[in-house]
Amino acid sequence: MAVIAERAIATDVPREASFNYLVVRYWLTALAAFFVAAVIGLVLRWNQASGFLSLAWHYRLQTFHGAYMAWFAIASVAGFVWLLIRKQFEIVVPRARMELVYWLLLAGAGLFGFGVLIGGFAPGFPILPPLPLNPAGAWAAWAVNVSLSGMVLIVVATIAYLLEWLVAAHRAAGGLGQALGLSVFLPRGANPGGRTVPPYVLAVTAMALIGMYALPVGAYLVANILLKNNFPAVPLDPLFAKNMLWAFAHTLVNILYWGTFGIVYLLIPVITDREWKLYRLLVILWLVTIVTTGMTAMGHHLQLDPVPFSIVVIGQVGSYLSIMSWAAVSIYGAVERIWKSGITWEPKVSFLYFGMFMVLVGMAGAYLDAGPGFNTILHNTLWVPAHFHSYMMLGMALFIFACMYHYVPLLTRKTDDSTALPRVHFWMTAIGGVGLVGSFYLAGLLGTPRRMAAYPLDALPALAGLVTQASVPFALVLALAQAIPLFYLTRMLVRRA
Amino acid sequence: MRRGGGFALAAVIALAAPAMAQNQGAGADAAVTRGRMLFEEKCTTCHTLGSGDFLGPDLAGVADRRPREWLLRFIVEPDRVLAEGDPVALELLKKYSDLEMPNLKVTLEEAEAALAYIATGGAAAGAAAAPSVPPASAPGAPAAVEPLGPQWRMSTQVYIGLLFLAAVILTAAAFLVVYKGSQPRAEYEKFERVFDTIQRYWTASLVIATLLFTVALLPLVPFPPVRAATEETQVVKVEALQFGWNMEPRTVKVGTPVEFRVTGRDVNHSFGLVDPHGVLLFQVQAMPRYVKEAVYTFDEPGTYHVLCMEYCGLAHHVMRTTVQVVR
Ligand code: HEC
Ligand code: HEM
Ligand SMILES: [Cu+2]
Repeated sequence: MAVIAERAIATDVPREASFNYLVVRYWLTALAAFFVAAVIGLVLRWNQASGFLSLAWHYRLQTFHGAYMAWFAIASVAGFVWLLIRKQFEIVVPRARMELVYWLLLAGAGLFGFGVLIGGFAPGFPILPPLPLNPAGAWAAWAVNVSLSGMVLIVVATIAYLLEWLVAAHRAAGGLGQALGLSVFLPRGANPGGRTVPPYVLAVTAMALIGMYALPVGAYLVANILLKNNFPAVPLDPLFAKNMLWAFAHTLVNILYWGTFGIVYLLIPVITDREWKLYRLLVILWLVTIVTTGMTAMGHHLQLDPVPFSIVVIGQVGSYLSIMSWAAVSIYGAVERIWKSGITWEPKVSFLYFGMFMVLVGMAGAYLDAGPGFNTILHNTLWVPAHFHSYMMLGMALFIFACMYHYVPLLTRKTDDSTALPRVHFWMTAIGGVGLVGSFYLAGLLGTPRRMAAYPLDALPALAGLVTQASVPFALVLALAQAIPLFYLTRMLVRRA
Repeated sequence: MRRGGGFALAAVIALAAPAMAQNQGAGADAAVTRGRMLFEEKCTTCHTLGSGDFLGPDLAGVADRRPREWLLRFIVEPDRVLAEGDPVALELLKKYSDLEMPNLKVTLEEAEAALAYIATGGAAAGAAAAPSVPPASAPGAPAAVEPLGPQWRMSTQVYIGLLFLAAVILTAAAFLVVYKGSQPRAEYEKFERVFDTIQRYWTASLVIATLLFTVALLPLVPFPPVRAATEETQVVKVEALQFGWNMEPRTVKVGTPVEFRVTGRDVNHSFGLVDPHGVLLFQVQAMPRYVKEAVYTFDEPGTYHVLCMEYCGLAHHVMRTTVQVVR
């Protein structure tokens, strides 16, 4: 087993340039998707304020935005996983397999996008069955086939890279139990050499493990819709399908999240020069998260459904427990290490720090949304995009940016002495992002439904209209800023060493 | 098979239309009234009568523009007419390219009535000439509701907002303190102990707060297993469909519990009820094949808006109706 010191993991990179460039290629592709999807996000908000798009295009773009943002996370985390397998475990995954995953992801995104933009497939993302099959004439059956086939490819590619991680972790760490940090429970002396894995191995292993449950569920659901699309006799129960969908989609974003917490666990010790080891409370809370995560979505997705009250309560508690570890150990541990660390506030540190703050904000939003009784007035309002944009746009994505700003110079052995651009990127993202997300929260409280091309303003408080309009400049700043990392890192790449 | 069905309907219409045309007179007034109700319920989401094009064409004068048989069939099964490549339908679709007119499961009789009403130009029945809801896509549509009415002071939304704000401010304060305290560097060992203790308390308080929060809110779950419906309970059956609401009755009384029995016909929708002050009161999922009950007791008369809260296709945002609450 080859668990090298964290410092070296974070600062040394493999010497094989072609491998390094492959990782960078994953990330730059992801950034390109992010930029496009961000501009589309801007267009959506603008259209909600002033109505210039046709309905068909609004909902196509909305579907495209959600899917491509999810794709951004999947592809970024893939690059991170390849890097860790090589650095942490010193295991060389055959190049062909890493290329295959890349091209599968790309083909999947292409097919999905084709079905959406050309075929008019616009059920929103995530997709709530049976809408894809009953579009009231908005799209043709072939578009469903094309887009969902694309989704299958993406799911398969994701399963593939998570499996690579599990196999590598099993081999190198001496079993998945070790990789999940269970050795902290062994009595002293029973763990020869006293070796435990670093926390980011636990985070990424947890992601891969739960992925083996969530992704097959997703593949099954998508396959079921595909089958029914072509053979209408195939059964599909709406309540069951709805819960499968959330079990898949909600879990998928959650575990991608854990993967990006891996970035926090990896970078914070290096940046602050303070070790971060496993200890019992950390492992226990992670285990709780792992066990309950399948229920995350249940708490707040069951309350409005025709299911027994007891199931609602169980889902409720499970859903709360499943995010406990985020605040209690992951973010707490990082913030604790920053205290009196003498840290230099470089852009990547700002991204991590602000990202963690916004994760907690998103958690507060999620707790309230899932609150019994509160859910019936917050569900399906803009409060929901508010909480997940806090998590993802201003949390997960910022961790990913930090990772890229940290590693790309190392991987390409090129630097850019000026951090002015990343700094501008940070401030534009933070200010634009808070403005946009703030407008989502407020509009949600005012009862503004999510996923609407135009709002029923005559039924809502007048403030709802103002909030929408006021958010457009913020969305503009936010979206334009996302050209910066793409430009900055590409320029770094093509520059002569 | 589909095609055959289409021709079958066309034949029925061809045979029946002259007979029905003759029948004008005695039953005509009743038909116009029925037609108006149907039109307001199912057509005003997309059409106006004389107030201009919306998602679909302005239907004023349509009875003069097109043959009656064609209109009847188009209203009853627009999807098939289009599927058969009918040139008029194709041309209309090109013009109103956002949307195909959905099959609203209107019976031939209902279509007759709707057409009778449309033929009056809406004038006969008065009020219904303009759509009951202003086109939502018109930018700056007039807000019928005060910025934040008195109702807002009391609503759950305000408590949620305050709780959220408190959480955000506390978190921001903590992050600012740590930001300020990040300099200068000191040995970690000095405060490692303290940090461990803080972490234990922080974790414990999170767990406790979660449990308290859940327990405190459980009574708020607004739809406890529906108590045996008393004689008093007013039952409203709601069916959501792309893109409209079937609801019976549409008028309820204040003071006695109303049980909404909500279901869907085609895809997932959600029944969201907004009070006259613009406060979203609650929503429930309208799911095909399942019925979900929601009990609510109104204490204020007025016009309550029903919004669809679950994206259900391109005309989702116009899928609206109202409930009248009277004393
Ligand atoms: C979801 C929106 C929607 C609803 C609801 C709707 N329509 Fe339509 N209607 C359309 C569209 C769009 C067209 C234009 C044709 C097309 O694009 O398919 C149309 C066309 C028509 C036409 C042909 C107009 C012409 O100029 O020839 C008639 C007649 C009509 N609708 C009647 C009705 C009636 C009656 C109802 C209520 C029972 C109704 N529609 C409900 C969207 C709708
Ligand atoms: C970067 C700038 C971004 C902007 C301007 C933006 C804007 C928007 C807007 C306006 C909506 C529509 C909300 C609604 O009406 O329901 C939306 C939806 C959504 N966004 Fe973003 N967003 C951004 C980033 C992200 C990120 C980073 C993610 C995830 C990683 C993301 C995921 C989604 C998803 C899943 C939806 C739901 C789509 C649907 O309901 O069909 N967004 N976004
Ligand atoms: Cu809807």
